[in-house]
Amino acid sequence: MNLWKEFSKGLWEQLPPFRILLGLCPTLAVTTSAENGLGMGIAVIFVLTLSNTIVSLVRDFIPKKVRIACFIVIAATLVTSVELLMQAYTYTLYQQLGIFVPLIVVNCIILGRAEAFASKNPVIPSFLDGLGIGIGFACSLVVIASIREVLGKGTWFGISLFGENFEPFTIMSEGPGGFIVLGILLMAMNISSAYSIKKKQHITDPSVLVEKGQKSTPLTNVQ
Amino acid sequence: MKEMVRMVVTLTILCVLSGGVLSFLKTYTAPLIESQELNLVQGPAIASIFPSYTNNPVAERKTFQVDSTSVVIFPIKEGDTLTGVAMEQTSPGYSGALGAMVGFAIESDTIVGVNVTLFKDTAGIGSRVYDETFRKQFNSLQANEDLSSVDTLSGATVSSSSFINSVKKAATIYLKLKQQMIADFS
Repeated sequence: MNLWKEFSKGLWEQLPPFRILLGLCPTLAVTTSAENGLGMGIAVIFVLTLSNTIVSLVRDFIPKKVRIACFIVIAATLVTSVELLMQAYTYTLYQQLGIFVPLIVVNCIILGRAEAFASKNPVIPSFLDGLGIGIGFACSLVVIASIREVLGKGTWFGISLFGENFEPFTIMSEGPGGFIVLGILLMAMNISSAYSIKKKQHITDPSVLVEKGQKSTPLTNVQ
Repeated sequence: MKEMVRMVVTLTILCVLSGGVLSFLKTYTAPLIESQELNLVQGPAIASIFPSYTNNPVAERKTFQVDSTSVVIFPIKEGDTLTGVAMEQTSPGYSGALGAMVGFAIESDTIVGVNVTLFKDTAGIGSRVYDETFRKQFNSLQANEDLSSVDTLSGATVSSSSFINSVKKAATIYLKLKQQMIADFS
């Protein structure tokens, strides 16, 4: 089993939330500033990596019929621990993320990875899968949050970028801004992947070449 | 049958373990969380109410008993004389407890100012209790008044009446404890 592949698939191939479209609630709700996005991302990395590891450790003891309940108990315990630790050590971040931290329990990515990957694979690949997907999710949150913060408040991680005369694009830091940014990014990613698939087909699929009567054309001619 | 037992046993063990871990963490983090709240919520709230004082109200706080419940009182001193006290009271708001920090002036028995310490209601609607225009209505009211002169916020009646209720509770406690507080803090 290729361990690097297990880790790296979360960074592009299955990048949440753009590729697997899970975990949209925190994506839309907390990405009002880059700092919040990063905080949420780190919390998800922590919970996802640990829950994948634990689920994979106990996967042979858990009867098939109660597996979902067991996964939820594990995820809920981890999330409550994160909430308590955040309150104890990073109270200001806790005040910002507030109600969204308990929502990580029902973040579909956690349950999705437990069910689809960790319950069927050994510990090390599961750990790497959780870490990869978690880092991918955190990066996506920071990207969305950066766009929203820069446009909506004129700052990035709290640093003012455009000076006093900047007129903030307020809708970006409100709810609808989240949908708009997510939609545009999804569109961009789909266009780019459609384009790359098309390119690949032109090169590898001989039928395409036959159709166009270009079987003998050099590959460099393909657009 | 055997499978059934196995299911029950697995879930039970898992839940017991998770409960154990959480109760350990809860007791371990409780003092840390309390000190974070004192420094980052209650301390700043007191500082925003009283324009000047020379002591450290958070460090000198004391717990008092009123009608079998305990209240934490923060003393406000100018030099050695006790000029005021502050306390936090909560009431059920629109979606969770809503907390008010209330400051009293000892000499005149008036409210110096109020601030919000705990808020879980709707942002943009109930959150108007944070507004200066709402909060300053309480300034220099007598502690024994019924606070009927305070206008609630239209559209946020639950949040604002809950806040008024907390201030009322604090005023009642203040009047009951006044002599005891003066004796204890000087």
